[in-house]
Amino acid sequence: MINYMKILSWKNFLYLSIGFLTYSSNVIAGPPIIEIEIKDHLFFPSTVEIPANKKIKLLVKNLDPTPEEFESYDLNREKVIAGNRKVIIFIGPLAPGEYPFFGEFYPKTAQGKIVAIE
Amino acid sequence: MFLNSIALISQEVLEASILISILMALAKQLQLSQRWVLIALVMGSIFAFIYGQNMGDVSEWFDYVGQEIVNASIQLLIVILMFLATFLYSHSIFSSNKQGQIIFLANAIAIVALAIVREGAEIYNYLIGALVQPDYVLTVTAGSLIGTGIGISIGVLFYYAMGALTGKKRHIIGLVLFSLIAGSMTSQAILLLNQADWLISTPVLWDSSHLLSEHSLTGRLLYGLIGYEATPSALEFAGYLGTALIILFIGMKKMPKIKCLEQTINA
Repeated sequence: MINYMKILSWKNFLYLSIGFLTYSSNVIAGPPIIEIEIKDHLFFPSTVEIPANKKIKLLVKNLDPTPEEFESYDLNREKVIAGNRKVIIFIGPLAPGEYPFFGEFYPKTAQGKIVAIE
Repeated sequence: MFLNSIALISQEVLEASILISILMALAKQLQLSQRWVLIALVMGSIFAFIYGQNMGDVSEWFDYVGQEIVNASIQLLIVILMFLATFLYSHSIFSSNKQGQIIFLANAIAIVALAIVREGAEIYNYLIGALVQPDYVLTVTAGSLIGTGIGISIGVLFYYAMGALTGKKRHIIGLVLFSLIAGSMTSQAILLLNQADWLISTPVLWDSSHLLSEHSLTGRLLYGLIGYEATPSALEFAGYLGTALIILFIGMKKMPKIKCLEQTINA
């Protein structure tokens, strides 16, 4: 005979909870990650295409030994990235269009744009 | 590099400079010594140096959004201290006794020091990057000095312009400026928390970039001064308006008592 009390034990409840949380975190996946690198005061890639109307996680890696500041008036974003470090910047959801960004410490060379495509 | 350093440094210096000039004008109105500014500048610079040096580590906190969280906390703390400054200044029961005045000055020191920490850490990072490159040393140093000069000059101009006004006008203009700066601090904090994905993003309310671009000199000055934003989100606008109204409410409520204080001082 099945012992229902055993099935309803707290351990099984815990396993079920973990299972459910793992399942839901896989279903409700985080925003897509887009990687941008800074090298010799330039952005690579300098044009980044992203889906419109969706939140995006920008992973900006500064490969230069000097700090840079990621800035964009159109995206309303501003963040210092220390030399040889990486940061995360959340952007969007954005309407379709072009959103220029630049490195505020080296604006002549460090330029790029996000293109939100429907 | 020369023009860029002027624009960057003047914008950063301007924000703290205006805040200092208004607090100095309020302290003058209460006939308090202005030595507190020096303490605030030294304390702010030391902490800005420490924060600037550790920016890389701080950025990695909270899953790489530590910088936003720390900066937003600083901004929100400044706003709370600005509420307290307005309250202390506007209630003669505090502003006319020694203990109240000490709290007012300690509070002013904390506000200015915190404002310098954030802006100073950014300036520090800019300078350590630029000054290690021999080609840029001269232009960046000259540009930074001119930028600092512009930022401080505007602050000094504000201080004397406010000093030239009569009691009531000075109180109202000081209060309005104070409310706009506090509003701008809240909206910046909201923007940072949104950037860190700690707050939901709300739709953009308007786009005034065709009227006044944030790229332009006026736009940048207004950003430093009152937090001008060409495309504010609903939440940023609500935060700005709410904070500004709270400052005005605290400051305006006890207007008659200011007159009493002025009469006591003049007597």
